[in-house]
Order: sequence, then structure tokens, then C-alpha cells
Amino acid sequence: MRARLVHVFLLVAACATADDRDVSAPSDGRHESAPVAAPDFVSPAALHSAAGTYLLELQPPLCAMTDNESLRFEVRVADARTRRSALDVMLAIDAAMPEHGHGMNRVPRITRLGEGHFLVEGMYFHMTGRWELYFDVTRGALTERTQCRVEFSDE
Amino acid sequence: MLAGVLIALGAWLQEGEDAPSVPRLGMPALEIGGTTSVTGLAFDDRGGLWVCDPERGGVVLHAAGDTRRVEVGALARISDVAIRGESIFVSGSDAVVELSPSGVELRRIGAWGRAPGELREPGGIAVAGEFLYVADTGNDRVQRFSLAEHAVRTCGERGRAEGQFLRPSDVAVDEAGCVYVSDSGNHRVVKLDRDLKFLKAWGDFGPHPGFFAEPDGLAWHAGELYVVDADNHRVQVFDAEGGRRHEWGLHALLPREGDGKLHYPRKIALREGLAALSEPYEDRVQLFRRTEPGEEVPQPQRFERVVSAHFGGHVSVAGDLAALCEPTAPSFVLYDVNHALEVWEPVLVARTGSWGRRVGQMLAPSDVELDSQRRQLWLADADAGTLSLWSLDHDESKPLEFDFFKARMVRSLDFAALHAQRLDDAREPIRPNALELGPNGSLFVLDTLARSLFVVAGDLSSVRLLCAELGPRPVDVAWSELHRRAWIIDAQACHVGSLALDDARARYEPRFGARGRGDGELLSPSGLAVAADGTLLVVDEAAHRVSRFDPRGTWIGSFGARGTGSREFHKPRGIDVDEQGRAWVVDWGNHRVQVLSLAGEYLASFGARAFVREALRSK
Amino acid sequence: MKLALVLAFWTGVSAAQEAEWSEREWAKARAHTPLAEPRPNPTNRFADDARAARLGQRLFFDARFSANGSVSCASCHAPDLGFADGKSLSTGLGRTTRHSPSLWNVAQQRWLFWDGRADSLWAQAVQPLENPKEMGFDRVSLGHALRGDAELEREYEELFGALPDVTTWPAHAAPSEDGSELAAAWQRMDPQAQRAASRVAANFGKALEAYERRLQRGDAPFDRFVAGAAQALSESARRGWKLFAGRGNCRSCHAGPAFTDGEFHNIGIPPLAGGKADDPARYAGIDLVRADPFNARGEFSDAREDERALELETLERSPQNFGEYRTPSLRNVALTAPYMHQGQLKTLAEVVNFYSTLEGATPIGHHQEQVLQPLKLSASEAADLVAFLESLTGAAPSAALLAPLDAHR
Repeated sequence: MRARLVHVFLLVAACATADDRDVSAPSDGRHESAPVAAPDFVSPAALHSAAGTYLLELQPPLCAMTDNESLRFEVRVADARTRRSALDVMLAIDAAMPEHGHGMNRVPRITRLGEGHFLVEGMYFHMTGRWELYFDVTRGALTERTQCRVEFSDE
Repeated sequence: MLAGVLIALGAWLQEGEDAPSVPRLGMPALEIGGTTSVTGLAFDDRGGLWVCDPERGGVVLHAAGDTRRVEVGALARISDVAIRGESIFVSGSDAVVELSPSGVELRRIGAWGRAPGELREPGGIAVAGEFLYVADTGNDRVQRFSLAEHAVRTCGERGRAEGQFLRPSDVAVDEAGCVYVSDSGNHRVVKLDRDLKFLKAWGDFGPHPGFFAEPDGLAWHAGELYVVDADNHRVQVFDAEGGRRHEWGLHALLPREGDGKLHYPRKIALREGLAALSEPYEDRVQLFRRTEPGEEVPQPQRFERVVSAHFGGHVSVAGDLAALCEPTAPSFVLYDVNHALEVWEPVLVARTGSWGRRVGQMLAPSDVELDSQRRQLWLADADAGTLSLWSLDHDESKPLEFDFFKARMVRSLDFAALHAQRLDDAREPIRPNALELGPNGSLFVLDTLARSLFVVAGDLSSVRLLCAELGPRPVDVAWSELHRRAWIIDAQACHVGSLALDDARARYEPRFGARGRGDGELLSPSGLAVAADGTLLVVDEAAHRVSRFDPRGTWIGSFGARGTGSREFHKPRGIDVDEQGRAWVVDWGNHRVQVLSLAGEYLASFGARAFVREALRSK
Repeated sequence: MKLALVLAFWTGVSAAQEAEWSEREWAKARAHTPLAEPRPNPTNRFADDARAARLGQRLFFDARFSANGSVSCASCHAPDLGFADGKSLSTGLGRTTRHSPSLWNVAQQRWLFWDGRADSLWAQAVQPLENPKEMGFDRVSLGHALRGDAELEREYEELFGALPDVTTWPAHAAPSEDGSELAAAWQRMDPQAQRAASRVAANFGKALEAYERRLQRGDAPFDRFVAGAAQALSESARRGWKLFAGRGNCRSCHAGPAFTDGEFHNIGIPPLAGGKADDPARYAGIDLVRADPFNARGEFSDAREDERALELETLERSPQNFGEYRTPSLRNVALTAPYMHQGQLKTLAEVVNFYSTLEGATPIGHHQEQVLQPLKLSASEAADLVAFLESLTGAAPSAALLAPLDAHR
């Protein structure tokens, strides 16, 4: 049974500006001069992280998700300021149904394909209803969350 | 490991628990009251029960026809006692002492610190053969001291892998010399061999058979291991390999209810046919005997569906919201305090949190701090070693209702990772025990064991050490906007100190405070808040009251007394003062928060459902 | 008289109106029908092979693969008892500790057993074969038995290739941690022989899976009603659907055309024998399925890198899994009394009553509010819900599928 994705609420919190002494910045300031960053790919449909540091893009996009099926998609993470691939970041994904008080009973396999570029496999929403979906980007000691609310309905 | 799981499944499928005819411990036998804040306990060879008295600094013997007291002078926060022959071993905040029966200190083992042989807030101890075993709680390890020679072996560091611990609180030794450790923060029992090498571990977080929630006291007796499962209000009994044998313990539902019912039992002592359990929050020891033929240990009945809140030790009120954490759930809760209902009572609007180690999950939230204007809050989790920033979707114009989606995590800072990158200027990864919103949207973070205060940027992007030389046990911090200083309450020194923030490294100065029960004295201070006029309010857990001081330390007044009614407290913990000048006190032992005027007039309370109302009904 | 008639007319009309479905309820109903063909299972390349299904049908009813020669799969999964056995605790050689799940539409499930400790039907089949309380057999004896029956040997070899040389094998052996004679004999076998014996067991399972995948039973009155047969459902059943889809919120776990989400939940059903609920269920099942040599990642799987293998990797055990059992399919539920993981509830009325009152439910955790709220159904509502559940009994497939194949003695 595949339910369609009915609603996607992209919640953009008030952006906080990052302090200059960023605890999560690579210590040698590499990201200012690195030539390895990919060209600007960020589309208008990109998700904003909660404190505005990152932009995330899913391929296939969020609206293609269904429940009750193992999902496979790619995530690209960009620095919101430079709009280039975020360097030295790791991605973790989780989801929960707050109304039911339970989370996702899987940990999707995440493979790093390149700087700020990840393949996600094995994501699995096992029930219809309202889920919160979390994309957690970690650089150093600091993790920033990008959160969406998704609702699967089979009606 | 698969073998273990298969065996466990096979054992379950074989239905192999004891037949009910085997006599089992768990029938309530006797209660010893008046044992204030009792921690550890031990039976001696003559069947007398020695009990720790941390408040007055001693150990007390309860025996037929002989109640004796031995003072333990220079040892704060007595946590456990062990008897070997004529010697009495007592553990306290930074050492274990061996005393003669008359109280003469024969030797002192350990000193405050992190090096091998040093101790920080040791919990339980055990003496077996020529060794003293210590659960070195604050150092997340176990130590074995040789009593014959000067040798020490340590095992463990902070973590949850094999050979790691998180706040281990007790040790027990069996006849083979194997050492069992109650690994409280990891909710498991760990078994080590006689040289402290990891053998196995069992347990997981939860209320189920074989699971634990804050396992604490351990005792080995007659071929079985007894584990005090504190937050599950029960004792579980296992064999040497972790096979379940038995359990007993009913959760007390009414205040101060005893009669075999338990409320956060901590340590256990056993002798033939008798088990003694300490309950520090109830100031009592309960003894249990074996079942007689035909008797069965009382089983839990169906509890009420609506349970009381289990608030932690802190509250934060700002604007129209109040926030608290529930460390045992784990979760944090939000109340709306500024709505137009007939009778003013804070209304629960959100409860957020799930147990786990993933980002955004919690292990045991230690404090929460609210910034109502910016609609955000910070959550400290000392066990997880994280500080997270959450934004709140709270719209006053909308109708008041509970919202599952109200709080969203924005960022999370991992202190272990921060320390590994050497970005925290600290000697060890920060354990955020208390938070306070400071100037310029920054956050004060207090690490009790490290005796340090840090400043963290509000967006978690930077961390700076403010002072690493606080008092012996700083437990709360409050910021005074008026005087531009941070106040710290110290639970061991029983004083209030302050730091001025004029230079980069602030100096800590004790300001006022004396230990005692008299006016203006403090016995076991647990929380601190500053009112708008700069006066300080201190919650005293052992004296069940709130005391008010001016910034110079002059005592203004106190309110509160021990009890369950209005303006009464039982082991109160945290405090905050809101913009309207109301004091919010976490009346921890009564499962509620009371809101009072600064003069102590009762305004409202919330949180308790069955717990306190039952008591009021039965009065 | 006229007044009575008028009243009768009014109540009749309102009862019928009560049973009518809204647009939304129709939309919800359409999500549950028709019953789909089972998903492909690449880990078993014989899963949809007709010859394998025939062999599987033979094996299913064959009692020779048991220690006493009297227990077959059909002993606990009897076609005329809903492919279960009508007992609380299923009994093979001895009494087990769980209720036999029905095999109707079993291929719709992702995980097998109440605790999900097998990830495919073929992996599942090996366990009852070797369980001392069920068939008490072993994979080495299985090899001997197949070798000793010319017909079976031929059918086996047609599909799976030559049987291994069992003459070098002991009489009985199987891997086990219980220190038994079987386990000792297994230890003495060389690894190649062990692998060969395990492969025989895996193939045995694969044939059984091919048969079990055919045990589809949809086409129930509910399906026909949604497809347009307006008389297919009684008024009571129609009202029952409204409860099921509405206030009952049953669809959150009993989802989709199979009426199951295939996942695991703890609804607080107390143990049959009373006392503490100490069955870890899914909490143990997760570790077991990950370690099962017959799982999707194992060497006997025909698709070791695919979706099911990935799923094993992504499973994460958490303390919340304790006491969670697999959601059964509700199709044909009227045929498979008693109900729940130990057959604790004898009738559908008792099941509905449990959800209605939560009487006797085991507390899931004393510091947590329970997620399930009692539905507090009236007597007629409860009856309506039962009527709806009964309307999920499908038309039986061909009788030829439901009996031993003739052919060998």
C-alpha cells in the first residue's frame, strides 16, 4: 500500500546568525578558498535549515515520498551563504510521529558521495499519518536541523 | 551475543522462572523512619544494620538493644558504608575512610580528582578479601584499592561500550571475585572479572523485566545479585549470568506511603532472610522478609492512567511560558501561564522528547532555559553531553491547546566532540548540569563536577570558560541583570558565591551562607533564583523551604515547611522568579510545582494529579 | 398502528442513513481493496515457480519431517482452521509459547513470526522444522528423508540441482547452543557438509514459500461492496466500517489492502498465564533476524544486496521494541480464533471488548501515558465492528490448493 504524500510543511524558523568564532568551522578555514566545491545547484525548492546555515536539496524531491516503501534519494547540502557544497559535513536522518510518541524504527543507510553530497537508502515510513522528518547536518561539534512535517494519507 | 539472545529467548520459551513455593524476599517487615536523606547501608556480622546519615555526617547502627552513632568527621556527602570485621568503611564526596568501631579514622583512601586513586563523588563501595572496590561515579569508572598494599587498579571511562560506564553508582563482589557494577546512566549491569576486565553486561532502559531505569544499589547474596532499580521503584534479582530470578517492589502512589511500597529506593543490604532498602527521598529504610508458605510477594495492580508529573530539578519561566524537564520520561514540558481562564492555572501545551542517542533525542535532560521573547529554549542533557536549542511555535492569539508539534530542534552542540577538537578550554568534556540565560542572549552553563562555569553563545556557535575554580559542589547559577553578576549556589559549602563579568576570566567569590537549620542558614541548597530587585531566593531541599537574601547576604525571610499542603514542600529543588514577581518552586518530592508570591503566599500549583490530591483527600 | 409504522419507518430510515458512508469513508475504503498480489521476493528465485509451489504443497502436508512422524506444517496451519489451529498455544511435539499465525495472505507480511525473527517465508520454515517443541526434526535428517523418497528427490533435484551426498552425514544434526546430541553431531561435521545441509533446509523453505505465496484469500464481501455490489455488506458491517475508519482509528495499524502495516506494536495484551509480561518479542526478534543465517543477507539468499538486505542493515533495536508484536492481517480474521500472540482472546467480540475497555491491559510503562485510549463502544457499536470484521472473510481459493497432493504414499 502506497499512500500519497499529502502535505509537506516546510518550517523555516527565524534565522540566527552564526557567530564569527564558529565552533564548527574547519580549523584551517579551508572552506573559503577550496576549489573542490561543486557549482551552484541550489534550486528555489531547497529546504532551509532551522538556523539558516544550510540549504538542502533532495533528489527525488520530498513530494515523491510514499509510506510503506523503502525510499532511496540523494541529498545535497550547501552553505546558505555561499550556495556552494558544504564542506566537512555529515548527514543524519530521522523521523518521528509525535502524536503516537514513536520514532522511525530504521536508521537509513547514508553514503557520502562527495562534499555535501549524500545517498540515502532504506528510509521507511511504516504508518500513514503525520510525521516529522529531520535532516541533521553536523560539522564538528555542532549539528543543525532541517525539519519538515510530512503527512501520508491513503484516502 | 546472539548466543545470549537465543539463550534468553529459549529460556523464556522454556518458561523457567522459580516455582512460587520457593521462599522469596519481598514481604514488608519493618520500617525505620527518621533516617534523613539516608544513602548507603550495610549489615554487620551480628545482624545490626548500619545506615548512612549524610546530613549530620555519620553512620548510625540500628540493632536490637543498641542504637549507636559514629561520627565521620571530615567527609562530606556520605554515600555508602561497608563493614568488614570490626572496621567501618564509609565513602564520601572525595574519599573512603576506614574507621574503628569507636570512630577513630584508621586510614583515608583517595582525594578529590581524576587521577588513578583519586575519587569524585564515589557512590557504593564493597570490601572483599584484601580489596576495596569503589564505584567512582563522578569519574565514570570503578576502582579497586588494595588494602594490604598501596596499589590501585582502575577500570573505565565515560561511555557505553565495553569497559565504559556512565555514572556507575554501586559495586558488588561474588565468591569468585567477579565484580558487578550498576552502570546507572547506561541502565545496565556490567560484570567484570577480578582484575576488572569486562565479561558481560545486561539490561536496557525501561520498565520491563530485565530492563532498568537508573539502577543503583547492588548486593550479592546467597548466589544471587540484587539490583535496586531506582526509577522503576523495585528490586530485581539475577543469577551470576544475568538470568532473571525474581523481583519485588510496588510504586508508592500516595505521599510518604510505605508499607512495602517504594519511592526511588537507592541502596540495599542483605542478610539471611532480610533485605534493607534505603529511600533517601522518604527519609526511611524499609526492611523486607521472605515469604512464608502460602504467601506471595505483592504484585503491582493496575495503576491509574493519569500519572503525576515527574519534574526534574529546574524550572524556567519567561513571558507567557514556563518550561521544565522530566528527566525520567525523558522530555521537557511547556506550560502557558498567561491565558484568560477563570481560575489561573498553568496549562500544559507541549511535551517533547523521546529516549535515545540520536540527535534530538534525550537521555536525561538536566535543565531547560526559556527565552520567551525569541520563542526559543535551550535544553541541557548532562548524560548525553549535549546542549540543544529549540524554537517554539507558540502563538498567543491562537486558542489554547496541547500541540504535539510545538517545539522544533534547531541546533545541538555535542560537548564530547567539542572537547575532542579542543574548542572548550576545559579539562574534560562539559557536563551541562545547569543553565541560565545571561547578558546578550548568551547562556551560562554550569558543570558541577568540574566546578566550572562556561558561557555559550545563544546560537551555540561558541563556548568560553569563565571560571574553573568554583566551590566544591556548585549546583545552580542565576544571573542578576541589576548587579551584572552571576550568582552560584554551592550545595556542599552551603554558601552563595558570585562572579563579576568585567574581565575575560571572572573570579569566583563566596559571598554568604552558613550550614544549619536556623534562620538564614542553609542545609542542602538545591536551587537559586534572582528577583528583579536583585534579591536572591534559595531553595533548601533538606529544610523544605525557600529563603530570601539581599545581595549582601542579609537574610530577609523564609517560607515553607515540610508537608504536602499548600505552602508546604517535600524535598524542593529548583526555583525561578517571573516578571510578575512570582516564585515558581519545583516541589520535587510532591511531584508538582508551586507558584507563590515572594513573601510566600500560595497562588497555584500544578503537576501532581493522583499524588498530592489523594493525600489532601485522605487528610 | 399508523404511528408505530411511522416510527418504524423513521427508525428504519435513520438506521440506513447511519450505515451510509461519507465521501471520505469511501475514499478510505478504496485504500483497502483489492488485495494485491504479493510483492516479489528476489531472495528466493523460486518464489513464483509453479513446480516449486507443487513441491512446497507436498512438503507442507508431509508429516515425515518430524521426530515422531506425525507433525507437519499443516498440524499447526490447518487449511480448515484458517491455516492456523484454533488453539491458544500451538502444539507440535510439545506445547509452544505462542499462538499459531494464520497463513492466509501470509506473503503480504514483511516479517515472519510474532516477533519478526525471520525476514522471508523460506527462512521462517526452517525454524519450526528444527524446533524441539514443533517438528523436532533437523536439516541433516531432512537430507536423509529427501534422499530416501524417490519422488521427492526427483522434484527437489529438478529445481535445486543434485542433493548432496548424505552418506557421509550423521543420522541427525543441527546447529544449536543447547549442548544437545544434535548440536554435538553438528560440530563434528565438516564445514562443507554443514553448508550443504543448510542449503537443503533453505531449499526446503523456498519450496514451501512458493506454495504459501499462493494462499491468497481476498474477494471478501467488503471488497465486493466497495467495487459496487451494494448488497454485499450488511448495514451492521457498514456501520462497523465507519467505526473502523473513524473513531476506532484501527487503520493506523491495520492499514492497506492486507489490513496490516506489517510492523510491530505493543498494545498491552497480558500474558496468557497472567503475571508479568516478560516476552521481549520484537526486542529479541530484531537481533535474531539480523543474525539468522537464512536472512536476506546470508549465503543462501538469492538477492544478498537488495532491498530486504538493506532493511536488515537499517533495523535498529530500541528499548521501546520490548513487548511489540506483529500486526496481524484482519482478512479472514473470523476464521482464525483465538486471537493475539498467545490466543488470549477467544472471540472477535472479546477482541473488540479489549480495545473498547482496555480491561486487564498490561501497563506499558508506569511513567508513560498509554497511546491506546479505550474506545468505550456501546454494545451495538461493538457488534457492528465485529460484523465488519466478519465481512473480511474472502472466497476460498481452489480446493486443490488446500489439501495434500496425491501422488506418493
